[in-house]
Amino acid sequence: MHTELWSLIIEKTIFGVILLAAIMTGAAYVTLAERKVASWFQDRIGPNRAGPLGLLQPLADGIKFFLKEDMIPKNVHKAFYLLAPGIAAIPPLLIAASIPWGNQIELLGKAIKLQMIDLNVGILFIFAFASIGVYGVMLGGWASNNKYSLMGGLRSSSQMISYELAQGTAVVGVLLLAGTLSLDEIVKQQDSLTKWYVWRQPIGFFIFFVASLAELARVPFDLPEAENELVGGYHTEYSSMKFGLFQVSEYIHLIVTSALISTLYFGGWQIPFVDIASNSSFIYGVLGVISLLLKTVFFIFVFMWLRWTLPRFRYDQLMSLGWKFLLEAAFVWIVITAILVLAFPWYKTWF
Amino acid sequence: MIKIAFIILSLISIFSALMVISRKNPVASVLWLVFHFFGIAGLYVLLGAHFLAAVQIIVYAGAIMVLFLFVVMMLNLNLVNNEKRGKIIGKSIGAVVSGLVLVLFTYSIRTTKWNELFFNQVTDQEWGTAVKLGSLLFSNWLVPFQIVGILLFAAVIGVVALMKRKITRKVENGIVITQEEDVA
Amino acid sequence: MNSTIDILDQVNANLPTIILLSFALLMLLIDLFLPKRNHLFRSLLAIGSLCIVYLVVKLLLQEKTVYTYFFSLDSFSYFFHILFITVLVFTFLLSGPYFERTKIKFPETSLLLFFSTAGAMIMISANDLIVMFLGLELMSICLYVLAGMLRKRVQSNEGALKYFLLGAFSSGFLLYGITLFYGITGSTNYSEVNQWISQTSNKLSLTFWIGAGLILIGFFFKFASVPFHFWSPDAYEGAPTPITAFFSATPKAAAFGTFIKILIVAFPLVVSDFELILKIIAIATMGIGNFVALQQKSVKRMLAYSSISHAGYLMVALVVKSNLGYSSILLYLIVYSVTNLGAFTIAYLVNRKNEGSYSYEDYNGLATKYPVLAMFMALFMISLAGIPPTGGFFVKYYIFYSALKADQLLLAILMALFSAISVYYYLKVIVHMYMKPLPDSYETIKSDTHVTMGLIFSSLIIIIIGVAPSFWLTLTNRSVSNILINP
Repeated sequence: MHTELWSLIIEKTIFGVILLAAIMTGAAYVTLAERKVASWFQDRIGPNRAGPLGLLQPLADGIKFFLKEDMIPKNVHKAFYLLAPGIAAIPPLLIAASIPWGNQIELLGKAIKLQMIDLNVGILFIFAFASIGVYGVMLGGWASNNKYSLMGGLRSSSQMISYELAQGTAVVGVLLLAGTLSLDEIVKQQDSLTKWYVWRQPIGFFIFFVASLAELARVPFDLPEAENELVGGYHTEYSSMKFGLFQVSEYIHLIVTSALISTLYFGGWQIPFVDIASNSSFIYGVLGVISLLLKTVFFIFVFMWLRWTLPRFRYDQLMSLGWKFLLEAAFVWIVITAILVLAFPWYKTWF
Repeated sequence: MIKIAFIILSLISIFSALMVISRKNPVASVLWLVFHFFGIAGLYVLLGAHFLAAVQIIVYAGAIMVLFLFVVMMLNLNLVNNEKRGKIIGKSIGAVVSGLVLVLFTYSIRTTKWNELFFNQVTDQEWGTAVKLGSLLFSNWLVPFQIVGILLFAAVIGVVALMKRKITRKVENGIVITQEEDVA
Repeated sequence: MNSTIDILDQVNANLPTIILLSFALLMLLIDLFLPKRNHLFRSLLAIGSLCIVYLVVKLLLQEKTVYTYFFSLDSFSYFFHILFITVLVFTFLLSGPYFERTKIKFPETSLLLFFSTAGAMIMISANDLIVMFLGLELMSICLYVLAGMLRKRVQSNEGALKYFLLGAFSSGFLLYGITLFYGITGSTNYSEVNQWISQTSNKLSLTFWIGAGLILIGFFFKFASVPFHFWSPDAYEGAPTPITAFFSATPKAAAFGTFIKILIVAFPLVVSDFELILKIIAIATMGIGNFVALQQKSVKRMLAYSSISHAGYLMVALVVKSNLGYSSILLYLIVYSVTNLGAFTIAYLVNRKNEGSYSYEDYNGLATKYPVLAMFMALFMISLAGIPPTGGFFVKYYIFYSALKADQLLLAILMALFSAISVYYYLKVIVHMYMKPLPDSYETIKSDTHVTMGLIFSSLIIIIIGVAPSFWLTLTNRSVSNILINP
């Protein structure tokens, strides 16, 4: 019992460290990708000075953030001011911990699951921490003792809580088909190209995608951060690495949401015509991870593509879209899915 | 192992509950309450009710407390002033009575013989999962479940009934006049 | 235990509630298509509720009784269902002019009233502590909102807030008691709790008594008995007056009815242990209710304290733990509800300047200008005071009789004493109406035909119960003795 416990601890620690390093590096390079993709859409060359093809740009940005003056304004509520970026950074990391990044791989004679936390209520856990993500934003806005920050924080958080309803409700369609809340099971059920849930749940996918856009506060829903509206929104008063942490947490959230979309609707680590699930050798495991990473990168690219294509919504339009359209559409979609599941047995056991 | 987890989670819950009621800043109270709910969710997991733990975080810590925080931030309350003379007597009597009640409850809970229903090992693998809970809710407990739905509906209607109003804005002599009127 | 619970049975057990709720939702939809501020809507509601009463009576006459694990539909439930819906009908009939005057949003208010009544019905027909709690919360939440409907008036906000905070606390106590009970007995069903108690191998531990005590506290709050009555005068005073009338009727009736059911089904073996605490609280409630009512300058607040004192009289009947006592409570509830509805209605009609004070001076000389209205008010006041030959006298006498029969001499004497004291503040209104001169400038009272109809019906009920009570007595006796326990 004792040695089992210790081996579990060691295994999870190593995996956790690797995952954390990968995500942080990924987030750093997503910042570079954002600027590069922006430059492609705007027909210019992005950052290419810091290292070959600009690949050391994130390092340069990081050093810049660390070396900037770390300033705490005088009348802020100090405890919450310092706490807020930390609270904002934790939920995306926890969500990352519960996504299955690959199938089991056999290493040193042990079967290691490439999923940090495998819960049987996996999806609920993810939504729980998506809800917690609101606190960082609200606290940051309020603690700054600044009218613009407060307004930005309240707007941002009310946007987030409105859309997480639609997000959660849209996923219920997938749950009706999968019959389980565990993410690992959901991925294992999508084992061929035709079984991906996106074909059977197109509207659910669309609603989830739009709601995720709003959760991430990306264009066209990025009013809380629009400089010409609200100065800096909830991170106006933050400087140097605290601001850096807000930005990084936003990009981690982006990566994690893209991974989540791929897992729920596009088959996760499954590769279309290759049977990974039954083979737990190292190569196949890595192939699964790469497949998930490719899908994630694709969705990150789509999110960035949308940023430079669409104008932004006004705040009241945004709220009425979330409450008056998306939520109702999600409910109607649940009813339709339920009717389909009950009435047509082939809907569930898809060919 | 479970004992250690139970002790840690209970200490977290009790400590954060004490912090909730003793902070001067209401925002701090709200945040300690959120922390407390995490402790409670952990205790639910120890009891095997995984679904309930997740739902506790989603609903309580993630939605209700956010609304609390909204209200507290909007109200922009000043820190609670020190209460002056005369309150000490009331507070001390209250403390003594609460202490006695605590002793009474603790004594009774320790010495009582709980029903043997709770000492049997749960053999059902699916106990506490969403599957089992859902199947019970939608078969035996269906009518009470629908009543809960009506309860929530009544609460929403109540909110709309209390807050429904019409806001008209006129501009008079360059000044914007906002008039609020109760809508029938 | 739960494996074979039939949903169809449960739906059947809830048939009156389902009919009421469907009607309420139908009304909500119809309201979308009617023009605003339409009298038609109110008339529709009253007529519709009347139809529901008819349907429920029809069900009763068909002897349709159902017992399920969570709900039961027996003559006890029928009695209360009909009572609640009748109170609803009266509320709709009697509230027209007030809602016109204060421009309260009627569709939402009526919907909340429907839901509140549905909650009360669920509370009564519940066989399980958890389901009873659901009904309690449904009823209470609608009432918290209704108490605060006059948003512009500070008293309304204050009353609603007090009611809400204290109500939430008492629900917390009730829940904690239910939890402790569940821990000890292993079930929340009334019959199963009784079975557990009856097995003599189960000792009644300290936790059992703590749990029972907490549940009692939750109910004492709902009765507005001393020392849990502090929310009552402010909530009653601040709420819109027809809502106050509804307040004084349905929640109290539901609370007493549920308590009786719990005592009969779950606690028949331990009821004698509750006797002392019930006695003390009954005496305190009667005493404080009456004494404070003597000093009130506002008619609405006086009526609120009088409700508290009536709760005290009802608790005297609770101490008499026989079927006689319980059936006297049921009868008392009919007369009390109807009388309060009428009294509050006339109170707001007379308060024609629409100020918050509801002073006695408004009643000066009412008899000369509006004799019919004065007559109704006099009848209601006399009935509340317990003077023959009204219904109020008969039900008080009946409680007195049951207390004497059970050798509760002290309680009976105190009850008679406090009733005598209460005559003062009820007659004060009559004195103002009949013996004070008319003020020089007064405004006319605007009322409509529905109100007149409602007042006539209330008076008829009071007089009939006062003069020919035997039919009603057999009805309540039958209700109490036929509570379905376990088929």
